[in-house]
Amino acid sequence: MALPTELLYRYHKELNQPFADSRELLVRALDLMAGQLKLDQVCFFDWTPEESLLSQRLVWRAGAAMDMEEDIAVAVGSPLRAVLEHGGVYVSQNLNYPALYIPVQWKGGGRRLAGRPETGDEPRLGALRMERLKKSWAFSSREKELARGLADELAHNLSHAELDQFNREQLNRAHALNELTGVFASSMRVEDGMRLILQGIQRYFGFDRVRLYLVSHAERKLKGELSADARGQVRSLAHEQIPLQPGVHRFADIVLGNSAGDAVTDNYRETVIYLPLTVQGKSVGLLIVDNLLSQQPILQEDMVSLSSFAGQIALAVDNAMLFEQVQELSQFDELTRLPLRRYFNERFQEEMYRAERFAQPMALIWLDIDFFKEVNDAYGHQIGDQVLFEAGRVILSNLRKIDFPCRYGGDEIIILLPQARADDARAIAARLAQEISEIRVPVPFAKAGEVRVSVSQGIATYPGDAASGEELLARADEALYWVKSHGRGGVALYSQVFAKKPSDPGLLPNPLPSKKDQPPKKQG
Amino acid sequence: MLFWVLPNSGVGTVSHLTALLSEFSREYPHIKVELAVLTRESLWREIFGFQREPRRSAGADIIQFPHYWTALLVRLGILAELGELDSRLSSVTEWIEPLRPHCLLPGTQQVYSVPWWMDVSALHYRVDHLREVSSNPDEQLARWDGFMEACEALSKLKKGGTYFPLENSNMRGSVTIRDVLPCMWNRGGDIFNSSSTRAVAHRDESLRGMEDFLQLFRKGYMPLMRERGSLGTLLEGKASMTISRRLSQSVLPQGEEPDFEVKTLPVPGELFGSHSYLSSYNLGVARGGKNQQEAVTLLKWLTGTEQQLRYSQMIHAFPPSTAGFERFIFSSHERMRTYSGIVAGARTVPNVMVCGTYMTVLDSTLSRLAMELAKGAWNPALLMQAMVKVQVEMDYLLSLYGE
Repeated sequence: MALPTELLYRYHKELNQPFADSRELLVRALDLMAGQLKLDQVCFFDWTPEESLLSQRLVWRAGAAMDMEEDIAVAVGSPLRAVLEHGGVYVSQNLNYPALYIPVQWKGGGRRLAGRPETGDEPRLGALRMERLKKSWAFSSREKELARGLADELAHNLSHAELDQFNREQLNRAHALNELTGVFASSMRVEDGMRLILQGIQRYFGFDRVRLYLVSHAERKLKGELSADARGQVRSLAHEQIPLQPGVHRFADIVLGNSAGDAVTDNYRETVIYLPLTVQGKSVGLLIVDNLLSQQPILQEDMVSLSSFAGQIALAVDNAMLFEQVQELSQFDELTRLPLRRYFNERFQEEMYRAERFAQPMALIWLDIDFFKEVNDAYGHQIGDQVLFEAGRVILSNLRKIDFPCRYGGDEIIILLPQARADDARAIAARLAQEISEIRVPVPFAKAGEVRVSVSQGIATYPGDAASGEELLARADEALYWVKSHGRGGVALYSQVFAKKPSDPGLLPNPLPSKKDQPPKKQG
Repeated sequence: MLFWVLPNSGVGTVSHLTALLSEFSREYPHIKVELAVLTRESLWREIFGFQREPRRSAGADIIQFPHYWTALLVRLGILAELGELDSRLSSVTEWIEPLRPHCLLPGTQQVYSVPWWMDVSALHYRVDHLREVSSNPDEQLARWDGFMEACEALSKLKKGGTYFPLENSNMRGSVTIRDVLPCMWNRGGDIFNSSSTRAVAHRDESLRGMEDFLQLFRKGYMPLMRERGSLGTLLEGKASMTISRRLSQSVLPQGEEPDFEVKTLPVPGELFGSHSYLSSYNLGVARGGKNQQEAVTLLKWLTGTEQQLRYSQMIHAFPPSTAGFERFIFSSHERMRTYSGIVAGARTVPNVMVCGTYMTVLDSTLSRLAMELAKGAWNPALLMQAMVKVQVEMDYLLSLYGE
């Protein structure tokens, strides 16, 4: 046998090269060890003193390294424990062949699990078991000395390998965060910003699941928004609505800052992270990431990265919420909550295409509030706005789901009725006229004390009255004009008022406001 | 082509498989197979790691895994549909009936994995030892209380040294849910309710079953967390019985004729009968792998009746195809008598998405409890508290990922 120093140097040289991870290093080290000490089998164990547990990680045998399992409870006060704690070599007394246990202690690469207290740079602990399966072939003192030297060299290299691995992971994490910043920035410009944010976090951090809840301060609720799973699939959490009150739900307590940890959160502290999102001290939401399906502990580094990123995530979420609000403002009329003309035009084109493609009927109502200008002039814009608001409310609550109303401009409202024939449209118009006639807007300073509202409505149908979208709008407008020029407060079907005699029942009587309810005629 | 395998025969895994695959290499010299032996724990970690960062990990082309992981691996996008790769793999009729649903994505007839080998729990005992404490061992060992009495009698009889009435067949030297399940079923308990929509491991009957098994450690009838190979083997006469999922030959040296007889019985029964745990180890082909056709070739070769029989025999397990199992069972009158009844009363765990997580959580919980037992710090309330926590977590996961 060569001198231990020469063998140690050879071993040192072989291990002193870059390895992908500590497993790859261990495989090489155990292989070399087995050759130098003529071993039949070498095992590497993790040693957890607080649990008194030696837990096998890797076995080398006959030229092959295998992940293998063996748990050994090491009794307090036992000779093996003394060696594991204080160093040295322990010769197994239980196995019926020569086997040595040698502790291995190295500096960890800085990796820690989330939810574990900061304990400083504690060393990582392990042990080697070197085995010769022939009973008679005991280890000499010199071999034991060499075995210890090899174990020390392994420890030295494990420190380097884990540090390298940690640094590589940190670098990957930094790249990932950099890319994620781009995702967050772009989330302001896209419609589905929340979706991108969640998919980005899930993808770059590799969690099993990421969930986002948004705070609705107006409703005092924490509302489920979206969840992204391990495959990047995104689902709505709209069905989850949690009252934002202390003691009602764990999530609400976390957002309100009242959660000091409970049995449930403590139980999952290594696999679930709750991240409240705030912008300038205001809660905007709650981000929850978990590894419950895989049961893989979340690393402290990921938790720190995510926490340091919380402000940016919160800002991105807030931006996405603002973007949605802006979108809504650009699509919906703030006063009546009815879609605006531009949004209507998009939808009108789609519906026209669908009606043509599938040969389906469609109707359009053009509605005008009677004497609206006079109301504004006589009682002021505040009252006029109230009239519009009430009319919008009634219209929105009296239509079918597929109908699409729009504030076309001023007091003109258009209602698109997909799959509706003339009779359906007339029935809807009659119902709207009836409901709107029941609106009462209080005007304390007016003689009557209130304003009543009536509407004129013109109806045209596709394909009966018009062959295109433009024509349909024009025909409905003509029917409306006919109503307005025949006393207002009614409903006219284009096909009946223009194709037939005016005496035909195209014009439906409408409960007109009584004279006393009508605004005074403008002077001059 | 990279093949992820479980330690099917412990430290002998690589040598057994190398011997088996040398024949495959002769038939298919152009296909090179590289083996990586992973434990369930490291395989689980690798699969999730690969699923998250497929570009950064060296993923396998063909994977061996426990049967109840199929649904999860399909949902994670790890497995390729076998019928799409080879039409002859689109049917499951050649496997024994209880294993068929475990090859499929639940709710479909799409095949994603095929059984390679299977094991089933049974009680093996040394006739010479038991005759010293029982006039009729077969009758006494049919029930749990009789079995415990035999353990007590053996433990008094064989005092001292490193003798234990039972050898611990658990590869880890500890305890897993797979060891405990027959006792839970025999008490009327289970881990899932009948529709696999709720976790029920915390219920009284389930806890009683777990306690039955853990009693074996508490009373010192079976070693816990000792050095592997250091004590308690049937061969050396340092144990008299073992509850194992492998064949009784697994306790004997290969090729040697023992001078004592080992008999096999069902796991000792309780109020709800005697159940065994049946599990298969399936093979699947990685979705998007570079060597899919080679992987299919190897999968078909390994799961063919002849190779199944050969490999099962090597590792003292059972072939899972109907033809293979019939050939195995009809090979001796003794086998037919013993195993036809055991397999008929065998149960398995469901192939649902959360089953792998559930079994993992139960294993780590039992492992923690075993540590308390080993330290002599056992308290019966620990089991209930631990199982209530598991139940809460699993019900939550079932609500998220239920089929």
